[in-house]
Amino acid sequence: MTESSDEESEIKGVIPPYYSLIIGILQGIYEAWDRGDYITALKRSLRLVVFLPNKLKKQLKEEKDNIQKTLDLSKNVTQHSFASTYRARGISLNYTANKFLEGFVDKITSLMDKEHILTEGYGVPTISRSMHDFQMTVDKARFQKEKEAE
Amino acid sequence: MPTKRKSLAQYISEAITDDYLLTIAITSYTQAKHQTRNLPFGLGKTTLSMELAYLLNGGSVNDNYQHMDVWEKVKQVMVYDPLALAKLLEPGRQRLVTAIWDDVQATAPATQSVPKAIRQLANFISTERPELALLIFTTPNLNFISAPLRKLVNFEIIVSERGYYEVHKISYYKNFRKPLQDNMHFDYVEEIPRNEPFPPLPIPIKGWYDVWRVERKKRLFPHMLKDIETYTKLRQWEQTEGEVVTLTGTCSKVSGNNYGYVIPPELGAEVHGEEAEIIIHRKPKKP
Repeated sequence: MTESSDEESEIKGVIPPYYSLIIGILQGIYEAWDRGDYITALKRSLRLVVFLPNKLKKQLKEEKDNIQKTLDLSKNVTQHSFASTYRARGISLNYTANKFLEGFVDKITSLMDKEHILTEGYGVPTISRSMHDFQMTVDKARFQKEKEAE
Repeated sequence: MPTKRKSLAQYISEAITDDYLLTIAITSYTQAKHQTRNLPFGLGKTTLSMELAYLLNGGSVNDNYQHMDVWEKVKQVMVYDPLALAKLLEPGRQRLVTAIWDDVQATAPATQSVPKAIRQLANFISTERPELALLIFTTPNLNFISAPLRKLVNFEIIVSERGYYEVHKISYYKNFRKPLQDNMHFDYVEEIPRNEPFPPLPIPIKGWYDVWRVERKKRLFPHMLKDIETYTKLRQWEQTEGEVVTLTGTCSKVSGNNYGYVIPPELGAEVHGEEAEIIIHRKPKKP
């Protein structure tokens, strides 16, 4: 006899925490890039660097600073009126962002790939424990329990 | 300062000494940290479960898993079907360190509707702390087993290839935006060193296991065969050309050794002299 109330649920919610954060940010970058918002995509990729391990941060620092500096410079455009100034700044920023975006995201992903962040790592060091270690630990527990029983 | 991560052995030790109940699923048809063979069968799930049980019952890796007295204890705690497990977990009996339910997907598979018995068993297992410290399931993939049993699993050990495994803990974290929906996380715990793989079963134990499994499967086979037979016949019946008439009735003795079903007179007059194919679908007897 079966009852049909309990529907099976697939395990979809299992997520390794750090990996899911990185993938979430990358999705955000892709989504902004896809709709042509290069400025947001670049800003998100600059922010992604904050969440990377120190080793990668150091390797990306120079390029990140360079992009930030160029973006700041592109904001300095002035025109004869308020509206045209903002329009020109937008065009200038968009142009700069478009120029840097692909190369920068490419560099981040290749570095993450090199460090196995995208495939296996998510920052957890490998912990190796042999069957011998296993036996030593559980034996202690068993003996303790047997002693208590006596 | 980061806290020291507990090992699987420490979790199990605490389960033994401090009366916890842990449920471990040993799988192979999935990939987490390491590149795996990603194969469902034959990677050593049962071997690993039996060797863990061997170590938990007083065996040692130093005797190369050759202590037959310990293996006898392991044999006692291996079950193949829900009934055997339920019998093993009889309330009030002496606390077992471990029990192994082999090939859970064979007897408690993931289906659209979960049999009531399996749900009752899962509910029962959740109260089995005084009688058991560690329950080990073996299944190719967690999705292959029934949902209520799947929800009991605390650790997943993935056998990536023969001799190698990695341990992950399934944890729930509070989703503060939706407090009634917890986020399920899969946290890496540990893995076996690449230079110290777990060995194959000793030859006599491997022989025993092969025979044991065949015996257990033989018990399931007649019922399955009967179901398949009925299913196949019904399919053939669907494919039959011409009009199909379904009648319900009781078989009765007509004369001598002849038995028959009574056809209503209107239908009898219609089909008189014609050939027909009759399939008897037996209804289960009422208790």
